[in-house]
Amino acid sequence: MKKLDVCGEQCPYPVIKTKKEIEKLPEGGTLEIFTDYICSMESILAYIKSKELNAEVEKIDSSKWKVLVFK
Amino acid sequence: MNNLPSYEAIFDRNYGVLTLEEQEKLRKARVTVVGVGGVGGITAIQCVRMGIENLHIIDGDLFVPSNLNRQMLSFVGNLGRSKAEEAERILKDINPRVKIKITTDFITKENAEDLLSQTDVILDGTDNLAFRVIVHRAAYKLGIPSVWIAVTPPFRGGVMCLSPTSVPYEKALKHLSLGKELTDELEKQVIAIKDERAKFSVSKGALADWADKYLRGEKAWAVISPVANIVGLLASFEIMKLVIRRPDLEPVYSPQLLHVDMASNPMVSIQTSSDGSWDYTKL
Repeated sequence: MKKLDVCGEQCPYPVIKTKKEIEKLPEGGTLEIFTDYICSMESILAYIKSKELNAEVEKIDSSKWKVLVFK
Repeated sequence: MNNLPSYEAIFDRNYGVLTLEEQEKLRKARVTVVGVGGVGGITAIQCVRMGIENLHIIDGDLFVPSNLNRQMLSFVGNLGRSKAEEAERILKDINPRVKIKITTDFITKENAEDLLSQTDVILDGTDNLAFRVIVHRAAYKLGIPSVWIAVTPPFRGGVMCLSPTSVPYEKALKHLSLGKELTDELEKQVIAIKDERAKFSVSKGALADWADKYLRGEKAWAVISPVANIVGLLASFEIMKLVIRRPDLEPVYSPQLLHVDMASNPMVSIQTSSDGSWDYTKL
């Protein structure tokens, strides 16, 4: 599984990096994204939805999330 | 479109405030808006309502629910859609003749000069302080005036025009990056200014609980609609001044600052600094 850690990064870097990784991801592949900024989390999820991809979100702590994207 | 109102019909009420020559300058001006969020969205709307017919909208973002509290181009009906594409659709509904170029991508160090080269005025409506450095550096290099804006909790903001002959952005706002290559490490230091602004905003009445949560990444930048929008309105007025260039209507060039504090009297003032620069952490 491909992993993308954008913790410590502010908008719009997390979503720019997410876009790049999803584009590179093969069909059937899964991307694991970690973010610690709620704003980025919102943008990442909006982008995934616009690409009609499925995602699962897990809240690791009060300000850290793991997003699994399935292509 | 058969019943399309003429340019003259749409902008008839501008005459008397603006001369016909000034209106023509607005009509021909090319304005680039980088980021059509809380400030850039209303600025773009005002530009079109003043008669500007050439806009380049740059925004890689999509509308999300938390935009609805202030962003004039966001509606429940366009959640999840591209901000740049929606800006084009809405602005063409104000003046269908408006020519809008859209870039549904974010501005970066690599593409900034290319994206910003064909324009007369640039509005920096980005929210990442490193991106702001990228925008104003490119504008300076290209010799194009740019407009900086800020919206700060609880009720504060600012607008400043920059040109190749005014104090450069990073000097006017005391950036450590001044004169240096914008490395990843310097970008982090520039971005960290925003954390200091959050902490300082508590002394101006922002909630300490919010600031703590912002610093931990649990909350986004706090802003209410009138404050973001008045900053956008002021920025659009500066854009008009930069376009029409009326001798007695000088833009507020750096290091002068158009300062907004809606909780103070006056709410809006033009301020000068004694040493020609401002401490961004307190703006």
